[in-house]
Amino acid sequence: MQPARDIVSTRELSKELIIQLFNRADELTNGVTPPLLTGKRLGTLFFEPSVFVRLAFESAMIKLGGGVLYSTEFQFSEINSLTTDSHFFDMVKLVSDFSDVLLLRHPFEGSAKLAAEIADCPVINCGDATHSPIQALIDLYSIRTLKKQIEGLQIGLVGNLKEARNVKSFIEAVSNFNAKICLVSRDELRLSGRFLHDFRLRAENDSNFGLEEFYSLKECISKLDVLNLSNLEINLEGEKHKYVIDEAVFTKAKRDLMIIPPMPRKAELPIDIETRLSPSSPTPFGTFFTQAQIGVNLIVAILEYLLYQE
Amino acid sequence: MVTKQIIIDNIPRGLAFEVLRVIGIDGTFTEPAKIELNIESETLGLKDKITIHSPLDDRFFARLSLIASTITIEEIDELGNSRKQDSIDLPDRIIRMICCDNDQCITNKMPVTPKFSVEKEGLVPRLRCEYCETIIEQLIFEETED
Repeated sequence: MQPARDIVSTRELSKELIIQLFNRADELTNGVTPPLLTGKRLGTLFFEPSVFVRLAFESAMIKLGGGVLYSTEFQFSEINSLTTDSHFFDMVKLVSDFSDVLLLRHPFEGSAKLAAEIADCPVINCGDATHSPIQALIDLYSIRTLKKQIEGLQIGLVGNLKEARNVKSFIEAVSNFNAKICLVSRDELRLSGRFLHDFRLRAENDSNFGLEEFYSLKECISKLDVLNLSNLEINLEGEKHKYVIDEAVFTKAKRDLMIIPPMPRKAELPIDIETRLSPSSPTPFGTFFTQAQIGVNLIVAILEYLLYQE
Repeated sequence: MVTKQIIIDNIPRGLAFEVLRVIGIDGTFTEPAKIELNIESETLGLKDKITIHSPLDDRFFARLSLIASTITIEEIDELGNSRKQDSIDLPDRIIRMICCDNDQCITNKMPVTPKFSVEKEGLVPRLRCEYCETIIEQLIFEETED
């Protein structure tokens, strides 16, 4: 199969490709040794901070025998100057010239798509204002791994859906798998109308994709198989507030409810909530660190797919 | 042909005011015009219709195709001769011509040529920005200097 040129949006990823990447990650988890990518260079351009996704890629690239170009002077500290016109074009071109694959995080919507047009190597979108395909794929792969399937699941998304960058990408990815999405938010934090309208239309026309909206977690917690906590910071009148979830709501939750917390976690839930909900959980941090470990094999599969050509 | 009257017909119900906006008719327009809303139509159920007693710039005709594929335009000259044209077939992709109405889109932050994929299911085409992937809610046309 011809390698994908870039991974900038889950909308552009076919169900077949997603399954192919997941299956490959499964093989790696089961002990298959990936081919080495000796001499391959991972370029990074982060105009906003990132911990988990960047570390996962750097770790995977090192595991595969490649190297990481960590261009500190282009990092987010110079965001004001580097988000303007020519700087962006020049930096993407320059870093891609020295790289075999380029990681990008940038605050403007569609910036990764533009970077993919400029760059001479594949571009991986590690997050712009409304796309976060890598996080979406990691979340979905974690669900498939821990729940053994995606089809038929009811997946809740709660938090500040209006400003969360991963929500749109996650819904796009889930929509391939005959699962149902439950959006939970107060009116002022609802998913942006332009996306909501699009997803509603798709749900109307595609019997394999379900979408329901709720005002409160209480209304739907009992039927959820997965709860994905999105951006849990709220900007109100210039002040940041935390979106805190009342623990009592989980008394009605399924015993095997899988919780995907945002990374890094904040004070939205007690840190041991998953252990108390699911005593069989392997760690006191539930899926957070489990997911991080699961995600690395998926990242290896993505790098291998983009860079390794027989 | 000296145009005396233009009839913009088969506008899906509710879109007459969008048509007026796109062809540049607002409160400052001084020529006679007639706007009919919610007329019965065999094909559309209900439709809107606009009649203008003045010529219309040709560039607006292509723009109307972006609002709905059903729209027809009839020009009638001083002698009563009529020339009717259907909406033009939209291409699968539109480059330039319109701007993304999402102000957070990279095309509105940097000098990038807007590109849209055209989704043609239904009467009203949906234009999806190839960069931010949002569906255009309001048509904003690029104005170029002559």
